[in-house]
This record gives sequence, C-alpha cells and structure tokens, in this order.
Amino acid sequence: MNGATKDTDRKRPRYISDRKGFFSAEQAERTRKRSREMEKKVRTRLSSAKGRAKALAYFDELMRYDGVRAVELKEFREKGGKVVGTLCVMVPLELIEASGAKHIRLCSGYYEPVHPANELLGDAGLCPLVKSTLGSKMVSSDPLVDMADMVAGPATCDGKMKLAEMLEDWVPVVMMNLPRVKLGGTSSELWLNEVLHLKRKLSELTGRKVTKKALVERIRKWNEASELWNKVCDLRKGKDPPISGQDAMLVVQASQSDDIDRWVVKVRELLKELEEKVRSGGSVAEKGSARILLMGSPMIYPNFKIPSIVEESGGSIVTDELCTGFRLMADPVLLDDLSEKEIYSALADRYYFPCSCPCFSPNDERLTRLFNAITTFGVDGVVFHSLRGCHLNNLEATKIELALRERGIPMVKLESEYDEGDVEQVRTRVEAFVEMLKARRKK
Amino acid sequence: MISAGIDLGSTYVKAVILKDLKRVGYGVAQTGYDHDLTSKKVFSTALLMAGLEEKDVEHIVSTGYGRRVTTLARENISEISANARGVQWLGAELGVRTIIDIGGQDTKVIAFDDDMKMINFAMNDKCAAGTGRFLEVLARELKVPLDEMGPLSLKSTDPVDITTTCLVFAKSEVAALIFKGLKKEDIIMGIHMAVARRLASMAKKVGVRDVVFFDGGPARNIGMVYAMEKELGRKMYVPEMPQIVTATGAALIAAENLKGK
Repeated sequence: MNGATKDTDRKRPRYISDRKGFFSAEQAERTRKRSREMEKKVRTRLSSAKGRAKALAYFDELMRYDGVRAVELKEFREKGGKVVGTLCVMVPLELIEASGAKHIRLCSGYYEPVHPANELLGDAGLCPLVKSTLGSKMVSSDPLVDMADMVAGPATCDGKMKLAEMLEDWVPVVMMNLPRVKLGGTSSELWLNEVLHLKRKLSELTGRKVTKKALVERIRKWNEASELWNKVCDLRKGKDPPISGQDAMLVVQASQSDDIDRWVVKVRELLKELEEKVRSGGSVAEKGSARILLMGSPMIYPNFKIPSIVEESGGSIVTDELCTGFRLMADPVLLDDLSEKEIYSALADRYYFPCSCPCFSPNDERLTRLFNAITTFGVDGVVFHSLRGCHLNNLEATKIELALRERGIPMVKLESEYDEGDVEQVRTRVEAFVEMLKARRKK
Repeated sequence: MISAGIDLGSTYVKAVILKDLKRVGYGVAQTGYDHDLTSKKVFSTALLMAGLEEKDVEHIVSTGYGRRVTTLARENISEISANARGVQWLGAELGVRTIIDIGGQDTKVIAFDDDMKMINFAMNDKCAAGTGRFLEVLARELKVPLDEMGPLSLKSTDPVDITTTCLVFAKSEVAALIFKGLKKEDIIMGIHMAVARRLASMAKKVGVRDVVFFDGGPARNIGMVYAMEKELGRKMYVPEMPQIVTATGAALIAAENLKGK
C-alpha cells in the first residue's frame, strides 16, 4: 500500500528461516552452561577482591546469570507488564519507565553465544558484542534477554544497526534514526522526532499514555541517580580510590536493567560505605599503582577481561571514557521549564549531545571530556581497547593517540576478541605499559 | 654480586649470568614442552660457562612468555621492560632511540626519549606476521636451514614480491612460487622484505629515530638486517649476541633489585 511493513510480513523471519530447528537442544544447553560458568568465574573473582565494599553484593546478585532480575521481570510480565530491551546508550530510559514499561540492556558480554551467531553469519569481521547479543537470542541462552517484548535500537554503528534489524526476526524493533553528523539544529531536531516516535511506540506497547507528570517524575529520579553516580566517581579522584574500576562499571551497568528507584537506594548505601572507607584511608588499589583511564569499545559485564588484566597488573582504573562506564549516567536532563516541548527537547538533548560514541562526527566532545578527566583524576596513562571489528573505535584510536602524545600522556592500544585465548598476550602489553608508567613517575 | 636473567621465549629459552655487572655466562636452548625443565637446563649451561654454582647466584629475574612458569625466579618482569633495560646498558654509548626486537611469537618496537627512558612501545597483534615464526615456517617450506636464509638471500638479483603478511596465506604463496621454479634466493629475499615491511609500519607508528637497535634471534639473519635497513632507510645496530639482550636486561634488573634491598 504505502510501503509500510504489514504485521504479517514482520512475522516472516528474514535472516533465519528455521528459528527452532537451526540449533540442537545440546548446542543451546552448552551455550547456557558456558555462559553461566563464565559469569560465575568473573563474579567470584570480583567478590573476593580485598577490601571490597560490602554494599556491592547487591549488584553481584542483580547482574548474575539467571539472577533475581529475570525472575522479577517474569512476574511483571505475567501480570501484563511490558519489557523493553535497549541496544545503545541513546535510548531515554525515563521515557520507557514513564510509559509503564521496564527496561533491560540487551548488549551481551557473554563469550559463548558468539558461536551460534558465527554459524549463521560466518565470521564477517563483525564485532563480538554484536554477535554475542544475536547469539543469545538465537539459542535463548540469556534469561534476561528473553524478557524483551520490544527492542529500541538507535542506528549507531553498522553492527548495531543490523543487529536491531536481525532481532526483528524474534521481537518487534523500534529502529531509531540517530543523526550521526552532529551539527546542532537539524541533527537535534531529527533526534527529537525519533524520541517522540519511540514515545508513541511505547504507548502502543503498554496501552498507556506517557503523561507529563510521570515523565517529569522519572526525569527527576534519574537526575538523582546521575548525581549519586557522580559522587561515587568523585571519590576515585583521590590518592586512595575506595572502589575498583571493575566494580564501578558493574554498578553503573546495573542501572540499565534495574528498577532505578531501588538502584538509587542501594547506591546511596554504597556511597556511605565508600565515604567511610575514604575517611579511614582504605584503598582497593595497591600502593604506588599506576592511575589508568580506560576507553574504547564497550565492555559489558561479564566481559571484564581488559579491566581485570589492568587491575591485576599494578594498574588502578580511576576513571573511564566508556559507554559502559562513566558516560552511562554522567549527565542529568537539564529542564529549563516544564512545558511539554522543553521537557522532550531537554530529554532528547541529554541522550544526544553529551554522548561521545565514535559513531558521531565531529566527535571532538570525546577529546574534551578525555582531557578533562585526565586532569581531574590525575591519570598517568590511557588504555585504549578496541574489540575486533569495532571499526569506529579502531579509527578514532589513531586520532586520540596523536592528541595524547602531544600532551605527553602515554597510551597503549589493545585489541581483543570474546574469548580467553588472547589474555596472556594482552597481559604482557599491559604489564609493560604499567612498568613504563611507574618508571616515568620515578623520574 | 652475582645475578641472573632467564628469558622464556616462545621458541627459545635464554639465560644470562652477571658477575659484578659483567656477562660471565649464558645459555640458549629450544623451548621444549616442559618450560620449567628447559629453563633449568639453560641455567645450568650458563652456570657451567661462568664456573659458578646455583647457590652463588643471589637473585634471578625471569621474563618472556613463560616467565611465570619457571620455578627458578622469585621475581618476573615483562619482556618489553627487560629488553629496554638490556639495550639501555648495551647501547648506552650508541645513544639508542629506537629498538626493534623481533622474537619468535611477538615483535616489539620500543621508543626511547633522549635520556634513553622508554616513552612508547608497540607489539604485533596475536598473529605471526612479522615474527621469527614467519621466517621459520617458510624456511621449512623451502627446505633451507634457518641459518642459511640470510647469506643465501643476499645472492638474490630479482627478489619476488610476497604480497601477504598472513603466514597461512604466505605458505601457499611460497608453495606456488616454488612450483613456478623461481630461484630460492629470490623467494627468500622476498620473504625478508615482507617481514621488514611489516616491522617498518609498526616502527613508524611508534616513531623511528636514530640510532636504531635491532635485536632478538632473527637479527642474526644478515638478510633480515639488510631488508630492514632498506625498508627503513636507516642503519641497524645489531649487538654481538642479539638473542640474549632481553635475558641480559632481566639479569641487570635482578642485580639492581638486589642492590635496592
């Protein structure tokens, strides 16, 4: 008729013709088993770290494989509630909550589901995060991912955009046309329209109108969360950081799938404990460790390979420039007045302009934020990590290394896959880098 | 004061013994399956040469890929730092600014500042392109002993162009060249040039400044040195025993840490 996809068309898979028969039950079970084992290993390592704040136990339980969140959401759905899965950090979660739905982050940090995706797509030089997320859905290996009734996917990099398209073989997807050329007026207007489009789709899903009252209330709650998150991060500016880089990432990533009201309560408890730790001179970093800023491709729990190597090699991650770290909740929504127009444009701006994902050009914001962080956090060196197939980060690494070199800040670039095969090679580079940073400091 | 450094590389294990900051013994052996055992054998060879006994050695530092495997050392350090330390000592009078260290599995380029302190480094990715392994496998393919690759390549008058840096593809490319009946020396020169191109691009990323120090086992290959000099347009300084520079660095670090205690 007018070219719109009819519902019957959408039900016909475009990428996989036999969703049920493509994988044997054994393959699916193996993926689940190995995912569970991998997460357990990471959780055990994190939770046995010396001097770790007790309040972090909550986040371990929330983020664990087959954890409490999937159970809660299952009950929520049984009562008619709807769950929206998000793929990138530009989706306004306040809006999802104001529509009565709950949100989960779909991006996968599990290694094993890469294999089923490879079987379907071939290697294709595609980034492992995208493959793992697709694989999780294909073999139904992640209980949380299976909770999504709808997906909101901003068209960021090629991989993520096509991932959203592929997921439509299983679940309805709202593709958001993210303006990648970031030039002010026209870009922000387009993005605002995309946010309004999502709002309509959410209302269709939940059958509830998004009221101004509900949205403002949710924005205020998220602003409170952002303020708390900034306070936690500020404690890492001092000589003795009370929380490791990995644990900080765990906490902030939890916000993407948790009930934010509860998250705020739990982070407030954590903050109290961490402040106490700072007062008593407690530190999770070894004495004399090199202060590291971590940046590059996303690192989704439990894929904490790179940060764990850094923190096991005499490095202390004091801050990051990651969409899976500080950047997730760094910025509040700034409301000038409470007109409908102002609320939506402030919300859209918050999720657009401060975001320094390398899918944008120009992306000088990333350099500005990077140098700011280096100064305020007293950073000795930068670890830049690129997932294999993450072209955008790979490309920006060259620019960033040059800019850092001009300022005399050393950077090491690492490339990794979703498996354990490259751990020792990466470790050698990181150890040498940390040794170099320490030697420079002595001078 | 007697110290030792043991470098457990992916292809060879090397040991160096220092007595009052002079090299008095060394040993080299192919890395076997049991790294700990090999490291002990190499260490005893070095002791024999030095005329010393194990109990005479006051401190041992291990380095290299298997640095955590050996039970000899109580301390370990990354091979990048150990190599840099070795060159700071061996190349002090030269005024080294760039190191190209080519190993069996990893190749490193290290940049020094004007005080010969490490300011930057790069290491190859996890593939064999631009490493000793690349040369070793292709030598086997050509049925030429590794030691003869260098001298033979210098006879080349018309080197072939090896277009790929991937070892797996290079093997089939070389096999095709052999079938075509091309001269061995021309193929070998082509192989050296391919490795040199790869190393040069890594070095440029780090920044090349004279004097360039070239070490690691494959630096003994005169054809490899020739290819590197041509590709970078600079002279390469190769030390007397390029394969034990990293072990020497580890032994120096052992001596320094002993003094610090």
